[in-house]
Amino acid sequence: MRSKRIGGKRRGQYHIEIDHGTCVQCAGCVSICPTEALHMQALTLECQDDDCIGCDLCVRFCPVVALELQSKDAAVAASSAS
Amino acid sequence: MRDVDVFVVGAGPAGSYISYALARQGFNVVMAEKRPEVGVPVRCGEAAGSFEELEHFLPLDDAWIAGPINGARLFGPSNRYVERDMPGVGTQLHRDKFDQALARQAVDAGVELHTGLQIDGLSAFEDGHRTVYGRNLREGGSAFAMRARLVIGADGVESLVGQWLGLRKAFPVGDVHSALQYLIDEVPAGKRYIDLYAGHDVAPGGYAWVFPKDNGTANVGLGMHVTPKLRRPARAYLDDFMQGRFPKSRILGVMAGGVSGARSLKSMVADGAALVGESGHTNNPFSGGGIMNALESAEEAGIALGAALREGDLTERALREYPKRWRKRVGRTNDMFFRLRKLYFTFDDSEIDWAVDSLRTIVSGVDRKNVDYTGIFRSAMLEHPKLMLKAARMLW
Repeated sequence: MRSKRIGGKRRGQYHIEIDHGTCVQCAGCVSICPTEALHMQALTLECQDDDCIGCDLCVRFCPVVALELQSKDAAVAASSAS
Repeated sequence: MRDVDVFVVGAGPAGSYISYALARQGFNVVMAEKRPEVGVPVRCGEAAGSFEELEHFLPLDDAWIAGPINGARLFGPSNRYVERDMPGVGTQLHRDKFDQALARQAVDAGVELHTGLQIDGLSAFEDGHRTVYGRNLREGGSAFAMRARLVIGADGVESLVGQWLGLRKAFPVGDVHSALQYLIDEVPAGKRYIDLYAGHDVAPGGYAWVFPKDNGTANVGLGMHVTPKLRRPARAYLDDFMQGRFPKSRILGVMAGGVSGARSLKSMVADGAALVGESGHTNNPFSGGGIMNALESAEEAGIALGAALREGDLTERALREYPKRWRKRVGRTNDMFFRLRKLYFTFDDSEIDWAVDSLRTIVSGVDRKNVDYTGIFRSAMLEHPKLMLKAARMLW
């Protein structure tokens, strides 16, 4: 896995969990993301986890609380548990 | 591949108005909107300028007017407030109908509107043209391409066209506000004032608003400063606000979005391309309001870019007339508002209360044609010495 250091944060170790039922596609998180990890694919929000540095800004930004920051290990553990 | 004079990305107010302005000058204009329907969903507080100001851009129609705005009240953290009666100072819109009417005006002037068309990229400026690439979301994503002499980005706060052109980047931390709004019922319209609420318990670094619409409904929302220190999401603040002030109201709709508080762009134009409306950072960076600004930027662009199209020179240098006109009309004022917002971010609750009290002194003084500025200055020096230091640092 690619793991690059940017501003003291490691890329490729995070995952943004998007609750598509709650997301209203306002795309504010897209404009705030410093690494362009979030983008709108047609009318759906997507996250390129490899680019995420885990800065948490989008999670704090999201007015409707549709985003959650997970570390990759936690995400793997969660998916294997379900 | 088809050739057109102008390709406009985005059918909001700025996109529709620039399309209309250029089509009326005889140019061949295509406008793309990624959503299946123009104006939906609404992402806006829907407060705009007066009837007269709006009529300059679009014939008035009851279909998109929810009512006039007759004044404003600004509440500080301790609930002291300043009130100003300004009959007809603004208009509360139905933004979906408003955007649709603007788009229809453009189509009636000969603009070709494509809805459900997502633009994914554009080529460099070659042989006096740029090529626009996209996908037709209606037809299962079939590829779309078109060549245009001039590409105009009117794609709003998350503008991609601006990023492709290298004119703008992701917002600096703190320059995008997290905004959430409910459409609620059971709100007495009263005198049709708009109410603004400031304070760290209401909306840190921003404000909450109540804009009465029609039939007892109102837009109630807030925008706040996003920093790494922010502990609670906008929804938590808005739910608290609702609980305290409108416990009986039902929530009929939810709108969310990023509101830009960014400073003016260094450049709004590139070779064969320009940005209008919020994609070109035309919002008022302090209030976050942007409907009139978007229309005004589109009007200035219509004049300057129309001339460039006629001359046949669409290089960046030739298009600079547009940002020049914009700076003169609004841009310079916006830069002042940007500094004012920066200063507002540093205010604590007691300083906000002081500002509200001072405004009240000014407003009542203006009505009596006699403002006690010396008294305001003295109270700032004596009660909030830090504030003067901060102001001096921010504003110079």
